[in-house]
Amino acid sequence: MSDVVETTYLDALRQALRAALREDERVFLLGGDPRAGGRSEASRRLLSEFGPDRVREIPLSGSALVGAGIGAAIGGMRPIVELATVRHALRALDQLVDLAAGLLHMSGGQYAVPLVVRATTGHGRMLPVQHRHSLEGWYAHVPGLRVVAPATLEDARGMLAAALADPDPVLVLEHAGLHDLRGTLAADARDVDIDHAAVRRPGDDVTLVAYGGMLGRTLEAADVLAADGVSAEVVDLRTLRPLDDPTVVGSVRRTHRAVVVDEGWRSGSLSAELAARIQEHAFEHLDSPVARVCSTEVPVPYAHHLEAAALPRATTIADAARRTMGWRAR
Amino acid sequence: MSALHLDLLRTMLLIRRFEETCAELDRIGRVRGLVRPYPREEAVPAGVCSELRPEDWVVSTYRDHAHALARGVPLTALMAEVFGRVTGCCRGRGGSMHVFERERRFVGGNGLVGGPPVALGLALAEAMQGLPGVTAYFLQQDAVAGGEVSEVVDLAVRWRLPLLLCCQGDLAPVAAPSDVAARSVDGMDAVAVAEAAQRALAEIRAGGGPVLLELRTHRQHDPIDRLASRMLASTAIDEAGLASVHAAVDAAIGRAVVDAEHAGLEHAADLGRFLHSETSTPATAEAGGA
Repeated sequence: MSDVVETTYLDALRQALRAALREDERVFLLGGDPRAGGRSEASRRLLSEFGPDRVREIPLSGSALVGAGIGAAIGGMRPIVELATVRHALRALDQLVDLAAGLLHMSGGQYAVPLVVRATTGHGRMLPVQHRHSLEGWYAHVPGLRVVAPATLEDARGMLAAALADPDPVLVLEHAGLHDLRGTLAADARDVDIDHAAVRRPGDDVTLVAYGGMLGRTLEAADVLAADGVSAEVVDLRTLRPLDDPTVVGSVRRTHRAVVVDEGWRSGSLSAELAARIQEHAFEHLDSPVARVCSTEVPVPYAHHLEAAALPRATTIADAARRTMGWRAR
Repeated sequence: MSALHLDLLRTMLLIRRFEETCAELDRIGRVRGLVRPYPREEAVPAGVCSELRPEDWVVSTYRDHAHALARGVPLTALMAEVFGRVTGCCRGRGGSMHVFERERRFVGGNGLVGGPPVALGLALAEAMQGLPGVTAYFLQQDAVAGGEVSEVVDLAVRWRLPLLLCCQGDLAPVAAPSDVAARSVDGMDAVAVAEAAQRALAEIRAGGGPVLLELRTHRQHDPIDRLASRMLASTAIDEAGLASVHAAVDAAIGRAVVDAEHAGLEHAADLGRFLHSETSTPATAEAGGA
C-alpha cells in the first residue's frame, strides 16, 4: 500500500492542475479576471508558481474564453479554460455547442478541438441565485462533448489528466459544494479512466444512481436504508456523456429497482434520460417504476433553509427508495 | 508588379463570378440552404490574402466564400461544399457558411460571435510555441462596436500577438479599440490593400503586435473595373488579355459546377463519423442513444 495524504477536493483539483502544467508545456490556463470573481479557487496560487504566460487571467466573457481556448487548441496548445461561475458557463454555451463540440464534425474531420473546460457548478453554498445552477444535463445533451463530474478526491485529482489526453473537447464539472470535502488520497494518485461509472457501494435491493454533488447525500441515504435492512447499491455516474449504460443497467438488472438522484430540475433532465435508458434496456427486470429525486423546479433561493428544501436530501432519497420497495402494480 | 496585378484581378473575378453563380443556383433552386453572398468588395480578401504565407491562419465570417477562394481553397472543393457533396472541403457537413480547410489553415466560416476569440486563440498558440504564423481575421466594420471584438483586440495588444484584423465597411471610420496600430486604407483598391497588408504583416512578423486595417469600402465603385482600367491604361494588359482572363475564370467556375453536380454524397450511414477523433478510444456507451 502506497502512502496516503490528507487532502481536500479543492486541493486535489489544484494538484491536478499543477501536475498538468509541469508535465506538458503545451498546457496553460485561461481564466477570468480574479477581480471580477472569474477565477476558480482551484487555480489561485498557481499564478505565482507558473507565471502569467501559463496562468492567464483575462477579463473575458465566458464565450470569449472558450472561443480563445478553441483557437489555441486548434493551433497546437492544450488550453484549460476555467469558467468559475455558471454566469460564465451560460455565456459560453454557444461556443461550446457550435464550435467546440461541432467543429470536428462540421469540418468533415479536419479540425479536432483538444480543449478542456473546467466549470464550477452546483448549489449548496448560499451563492447568489444567478451564480449557480445545475445545468449538467444541458451539456450532457450535446453530441461531440465529453462531460465528466468528479465526485470524489480520486476523481478530482485524476480526471483532468484523462481529459487532457482526450483528442476532443472535455467539460469537467466541479461541484462548488464539494470544495471542502476532506479525505485521504494516495500520494502517487494519477489519472483515472473517464469512460465508466463506478459502483461506490454494493447492494442488492435497489440501485441509487447519482453524480457530482449528490453522491455524498446518496451514500448517506444508503446508510439510512441499511439501518432499515434495505441494501442499496450506489452508482456514481462520473461521466455524464457518454453515459455508461452497461454499469447502470447491469446494476438495475440485479436489484430490479432504481432511484435516480439529480441536482438539476426534473423536466428535461439528465434523470429523465437515465430513467428512459433504464426502461429501454432493463424493462423486464424492473419490479417498480424508476423513481427520481430532483431539485424543486424553482430558481434555487439564497436563504440556507430554502436552498436545503429545494435540493435532494438523504431523507427524500431514502423515502423514494422505500417507495420503490413497497410498490405494487394495481 | 504586373504579375501581382494580374493575380489580384483573377482572384477578384473568381470571387465575383463564384458569388454570382451561387446566387443564380440558389435562385433556380439547384442549391438549397442559406448562401450569404459577398458584397462587391473583392479587393479586401484578394489584397490581404495575396500577402499571406502558407503558415498563416485565416479566420472568416459567415460570408466566407470570398476569403476561402482568396486563400487558395480549391474552387472545386468549395463549390462541392456549397452543393453539400462528399467532395466538398468539409464533405458536405459545413456548407456555404461554415467552410473549413485544414491544408490552407482556413478556419471558417463562423458566426459573428465565433470568430474574434478563435482568431485570438490561434494567434496566442503561434506566439506561445514560437511559431511564425500570423492570424488574419476578417470582420465587418459593424462588428467592431461589439464588446467581444474590443476585448479581443485589447488582449492581442497586451500580449503583442501576431494578429492582423481586417475590418471592412462603408461607415465613417470608427475609433479603433484600445491603442492598437490602426491604418485606414482604400478598400476598393486591391493594390493599395495588398501594399498595406504587406507592411502590416512585416511589422507583425517583426514582433510588433497586432495591426488593424480599416478597409474602407463604398458600394458605388467596383474594385474589378478599377484595377482593370489601371492595367489597361498602363498597358499591363490589353482588351484581348482581359477577355481571356474572364473566359478562363468562367470556364473554371463552369467546370466546378458540373463537377459538384456529378459528385457523390456522403453515405448517410457515415452520419456519425467525425463526432469524435478517430484516433481516440471508442466511447463505451454512446450507443445507448441510438
